[in-house]
Amino acid sequence: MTTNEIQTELTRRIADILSCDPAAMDVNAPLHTLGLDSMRMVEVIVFIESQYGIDLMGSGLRREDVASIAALARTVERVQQP
Amino acid sequence: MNRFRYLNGIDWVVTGLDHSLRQTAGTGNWAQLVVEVDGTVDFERFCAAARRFCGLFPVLQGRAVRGWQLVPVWKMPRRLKPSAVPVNKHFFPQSAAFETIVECLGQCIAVPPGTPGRYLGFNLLYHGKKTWLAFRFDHRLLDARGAELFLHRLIQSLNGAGPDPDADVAGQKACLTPWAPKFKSGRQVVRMLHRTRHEAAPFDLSPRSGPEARLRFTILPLTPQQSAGLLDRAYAEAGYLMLTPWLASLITAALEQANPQCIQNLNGFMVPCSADLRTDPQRQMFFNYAAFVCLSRPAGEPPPEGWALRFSRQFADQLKSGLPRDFENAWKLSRIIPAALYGRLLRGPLGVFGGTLSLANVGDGLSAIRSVDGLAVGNAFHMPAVPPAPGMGFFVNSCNGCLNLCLVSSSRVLSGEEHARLTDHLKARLFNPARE
Repeated sequence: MTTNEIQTELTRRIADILSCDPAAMDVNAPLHTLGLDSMRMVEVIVFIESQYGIDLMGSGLRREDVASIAALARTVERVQQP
Repeated sequence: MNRFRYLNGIDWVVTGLDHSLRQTAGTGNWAQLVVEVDGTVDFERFCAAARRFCGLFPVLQGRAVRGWQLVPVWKMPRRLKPSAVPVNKHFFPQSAAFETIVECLGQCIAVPPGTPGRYLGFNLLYHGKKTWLAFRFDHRLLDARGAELFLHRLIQSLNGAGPDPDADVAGQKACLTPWAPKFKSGRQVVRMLHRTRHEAAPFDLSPRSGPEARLRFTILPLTPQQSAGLLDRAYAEAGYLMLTPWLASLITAALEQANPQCIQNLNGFMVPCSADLRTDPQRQMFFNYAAFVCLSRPAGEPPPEGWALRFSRQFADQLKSGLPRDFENAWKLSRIIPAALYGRLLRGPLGVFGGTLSLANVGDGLSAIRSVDGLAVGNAFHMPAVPPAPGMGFFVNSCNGCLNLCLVSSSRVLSGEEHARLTDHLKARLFNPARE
């Protein structure tokens, strides 16, 4: 999957979790400004790990890797690569 | 329209807790939202709007009974009576200190059982040019996020928007069968609690006996700069967005340092943190949707990575393993227990569900309330009246970029001096981390 496809899928999922319109979400905005909290962040991580078959928590995440939807999509693509 | 609503597991736990508290503490399971308004709210106008809005919901005139399938239900009346929700006013001079206001707000929650308007109440505290609008609610009908939504809609109706009584009241199913997944969930919950209990050891806090318990509140409203600094620290030490586990590490460290009598025989802390299980936050206004994750901190040296990171891992592992949903399923089984028995069971065999203190972080839902009758809102915070056993709780929310921390303790658990000492250590850890 390309970064763009991952980004679209993540945007849709996060919009579902936050009950808002995916079109209205800024993919470059910090996740906490979108309304994500610790519980919902873990939900997003669980979704990513099951959807893409990767161990995101165990991949040595830094804050900038998960700072926005766009950053998360890039991280998922990077971790997916062998 | 359905005239009853099946209660889910957590609704019944809350009802049981309410019953127990009425018998042991002489008060129900109440909490309060407080909105600081920059201006003088018109009392008569507010009374009329509150009574009109509260009169729209039959659920506010209902009560819990056993249905024909023996599942507890919330029965609502066929005909609505005009709402008699109590609205009181209090006056303070401009010079009154914030602590004086908080003390009065604390008294506004401590209402005796049988108070008219049973489930809701409002208090307007006029303080110089400000008004503190306090909304008291019964947890049987509203949890913290539901109360935020209710107050927001009431204020929207006061501000002139059409009232929107669209709330998913009757949508709950009985959920009697299947039984097997509920037992499996119950087994998962009990296993996790025993595992955590083994690490964090006993819960047998010995509350003081003596005169009737009273609650002490401390509200710590942070400035935007302090809040931003705190979030940066939390994200750096516990991981991005891991504010709740970070707060748990901060609070347990402050409690350990304050060393009140009630924790001196403990060799660890157990911190239940509430988790919100709403799937449709705009419609799920009434009743309860909370579950828990349980963080444990054994006494002794901190782990190499520090407690903040350890709590973050516990938090993430429990959410990933589906513990909150297991709680939700397992609690459905508890609906068979009569409410009158709940208190005894919580003090006995169900004592495993207790914690050393409770922690809730409800986010920034109150930021949605921007004005009241055209007057700007400065801040808004929560004051839960009855922290779950053993009687010490911390409640965090954010409003307009400012964090608010509420510490509440029962006089049976912390003396006045111990409460003050804990507050001092907490403030030092929040504002002067280098000195701690």
